[in-house]
Amino acid sequence: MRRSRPKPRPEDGIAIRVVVLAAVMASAWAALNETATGTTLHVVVLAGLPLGFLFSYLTRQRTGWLLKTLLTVGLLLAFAQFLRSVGQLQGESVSDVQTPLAELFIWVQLLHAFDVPGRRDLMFSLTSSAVLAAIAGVLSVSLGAAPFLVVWAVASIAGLALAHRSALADLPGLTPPFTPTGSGTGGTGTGRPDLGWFRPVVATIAIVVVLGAGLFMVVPTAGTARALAFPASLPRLIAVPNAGGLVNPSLGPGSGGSDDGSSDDSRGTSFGYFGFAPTLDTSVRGRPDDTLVMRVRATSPDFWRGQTFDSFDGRVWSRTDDDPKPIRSRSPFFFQRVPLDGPRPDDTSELVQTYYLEETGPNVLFAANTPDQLYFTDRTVYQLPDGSLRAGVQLERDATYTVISHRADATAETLRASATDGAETPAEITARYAQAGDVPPRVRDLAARITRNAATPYDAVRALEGWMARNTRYTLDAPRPPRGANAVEQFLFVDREGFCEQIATSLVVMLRSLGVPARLAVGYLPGERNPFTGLYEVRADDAHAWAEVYFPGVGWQGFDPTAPVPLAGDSSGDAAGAGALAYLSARLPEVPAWLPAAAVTGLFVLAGVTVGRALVRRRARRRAALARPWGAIQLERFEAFGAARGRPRRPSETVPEFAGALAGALADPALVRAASILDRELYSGDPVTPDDRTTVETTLTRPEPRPEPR
Amino acid sequence: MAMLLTILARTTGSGWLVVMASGLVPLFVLGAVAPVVPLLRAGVTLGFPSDAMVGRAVVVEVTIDGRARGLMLRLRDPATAWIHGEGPSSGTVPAVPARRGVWTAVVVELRSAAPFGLVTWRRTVRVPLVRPLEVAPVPIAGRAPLSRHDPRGDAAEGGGSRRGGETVRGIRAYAPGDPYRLVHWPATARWGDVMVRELDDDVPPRLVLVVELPGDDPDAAEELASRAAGLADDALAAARQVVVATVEATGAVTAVVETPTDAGRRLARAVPGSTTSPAARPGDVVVRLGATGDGAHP
Repeated sequence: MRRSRPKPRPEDGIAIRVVVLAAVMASAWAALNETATGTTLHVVVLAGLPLGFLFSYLTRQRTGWLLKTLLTVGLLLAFAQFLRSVGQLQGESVSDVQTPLAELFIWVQLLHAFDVPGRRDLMFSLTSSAVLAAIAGVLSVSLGAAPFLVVWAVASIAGLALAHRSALADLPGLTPPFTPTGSGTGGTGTGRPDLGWFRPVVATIAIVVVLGAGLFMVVPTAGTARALAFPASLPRLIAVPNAGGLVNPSLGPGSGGSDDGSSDDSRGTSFGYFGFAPTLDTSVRGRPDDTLVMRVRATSPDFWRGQTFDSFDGRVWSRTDDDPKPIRSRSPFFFQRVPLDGPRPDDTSELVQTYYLEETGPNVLFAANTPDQLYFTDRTVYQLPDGSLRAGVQLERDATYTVISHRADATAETLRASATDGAETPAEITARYAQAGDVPPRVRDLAARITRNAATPYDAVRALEGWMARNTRYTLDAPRPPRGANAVEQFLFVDREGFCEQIATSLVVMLRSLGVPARLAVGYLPGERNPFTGLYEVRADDAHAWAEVYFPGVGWQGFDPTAPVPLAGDSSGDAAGAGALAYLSARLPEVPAWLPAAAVTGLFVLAGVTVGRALVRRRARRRAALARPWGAIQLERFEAFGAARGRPRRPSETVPEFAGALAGALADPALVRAASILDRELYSGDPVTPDDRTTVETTLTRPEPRPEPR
Repeated sequence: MAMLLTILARTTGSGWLVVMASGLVPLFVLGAVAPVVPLLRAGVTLGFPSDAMVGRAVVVEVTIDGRARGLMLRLRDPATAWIHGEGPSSGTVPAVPARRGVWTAVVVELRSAAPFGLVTWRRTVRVPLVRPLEVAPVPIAGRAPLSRHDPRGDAAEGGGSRRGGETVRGIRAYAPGDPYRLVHWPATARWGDVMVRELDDDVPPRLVLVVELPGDDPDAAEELASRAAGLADDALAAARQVVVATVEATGAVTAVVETPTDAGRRLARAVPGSTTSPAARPGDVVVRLGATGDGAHP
């Protein structure tokens, strides 16, 4: 059988093989780090890939049909293993295919590594590595992938540049030129050492980094609106003791972290939040540290709500109706809107949130209000009367679930308009959330006085928030209210300083005193957005309490005087790279204060020196070109004269020697005289006469001999 | 790929894909735009010999001015292979003229895909030559006729004062051994003795080539020019004087050529057209090569 196409030239370059190997290994390792695979694949990446590339280099000249056959068999086996892994998923989320897919790609890379004889094969490997890097990027929720992706990017750029150089090297080049001695032009270069491919690659990387960073600052964030499936996984299925009940291992045993516990304020871990408990004592504030408790992938920030409280006794919040309704289904779960959420608003937008738990916490399923769908591995979840969700299993570290919420597109205008557009507050909401109860009179009077000019409930909320911002202070060191004192009264009239639970409680109580339905919600603030992963990094100290206020026709909206979270309708999509510099600078090791300024100044000085040097060189080149002496010009012509006649000047020849040889070859003794004149002009220091110059110029303008026919 | 990553990022919410896409876009933009830079920077000058011959490689001096990395270039006509060049540099490359003629400028095709080979840009430059390049036809070996009836050579016609390629130097009395054909009968009749002609047969006859290239058949024209070159070369090799009559762009030209190079230049400049036969001297062998047919003409 004849080949339909000529076999591509084997690639002899070692540098290109090394950088492609680096790119492949970096992408494979990045993917491995994001998947729960065994050590086999780690060995494959660490040892197999270099071995494969070495084998390919050594056998690049051979056809290797036997090798191709073996590799084909290997590919089929890898694909069979992939199908087997997918089959074992047994109805789990489609997104779980990512791990077997990554493994399949790694195997393909390994097998292909043994058959990369040519440049085209190497480029295929490089392209495949991009796929692996993309898979790693999809799976990664942290900065852990960054080093690998940086290596991959640098190696890929170098690989592309080297491949292009290799392609150019396939072409013949200009025959090494005759190098005119004593002249400033001609020759192969500028006289400076040729840094080869390294300098263009470095320059390219610098340009890509600068332009890419600029682009990163303006492109929109990644979204999740059109995904077919969402991540959901549980490391273990451990049912909670009391089905539908609340457990919070992070608070420790007997800490009130369960429905049958007391309101003890002791903490089991450094990151436990006492708000994720059946009751919440507003006189107590724990001090959760900055432990990363979860990451949230979402297109816009929101309160990640855990649960709400409706009943306040002057110090402690509790729920009057804690009757979780079990919902059994396969993922995804679909939830009915609970009556206490009111009717569904007309204008809503979807917010997809994927929660990646970094620490074991309560079995509360966090969600932006109002959750509609849940992607979750267990078959049973519980919905509370207020619409919040609980898992029937413990939510341990590495658990992942996805919630799709529909948020009312609320803006300040729509919230104001809700008071006048005829929508009614459902009676059960009014009954449960708008009763003032035993609010101290002076709290009631204060609320009325602050909101006397407020035309709508929304204006009342804003007025109260404004008043508290002006007259109270947020602090975690607020004194504990005396026993028996009303926490709100103590906060508003005595201490005037407190923490979020007290501030939010005061807002809720004052709103209720005005007849506005309100409740206390606990959960987490959005956290800091990691601009590289696109995920919000939620830390223990983001645990928070805020007020939720009901607006007829719109639904519940969160308000917080201490932590502004935009309304859903006011949430503008940030650029993907927004806050990237702040994020990075916050994570850089501490540096002396003068160092950033010195670094910037140094960069400017370096740029100035570089530009100045380039300008000076350019000017020098121009001057040299303009001021070239007659002798140098004629010598160059002399050498070109000889080269055109098949007798270029040899590096070791003096001008007279060259002229003698040329004169003999061309039978033209005039050349010897011309060379003698040139030699005198160039090296004796005695200027030649105008007649001598004419002699040289005339000699060198003689026509070349015509090639004689054979 | 950047587009694919963006779509993936929009569907998976992966920030890393946005980062990768943000890096790939400028990479591709750079790969698409950067090749233009060396093309714009590069200046090309060419040094050709004055004379060349169809099908024979000539050495061309190529000088690339300006900092231009990763260039590919070739000369279209006379053609060279694609070569790799880095500016500034100079060197030589063989070029093979494919046709006869005179070039005052040469088209150079430049390409660049630097630094990644993702997108290739091209630019053609018309480089004027310092002096014209005259490409002579390939001589087709032929024997220049010594007389009109010389069976070895191409068809020819004799000059008015020559008789069979012999020049009469004088008359003398017959001597035993003189060939019968040398008897000069009028002198014999006048003098009463047998007189014979004395011949000056050491000087070879001059060759006059009248070359009329056809305008409608380039291949035939090239072949004709090649034949003329072959005859001129043969005659010059025999130390005969050669006159070439051709039509050039400026009109009919008739001139003596002294070397094969001269003959090649004249034939390089020849264009299709008819010319009048030059005034032939006695003894000249006129060879007419042209559209109207080769051979003797009245």
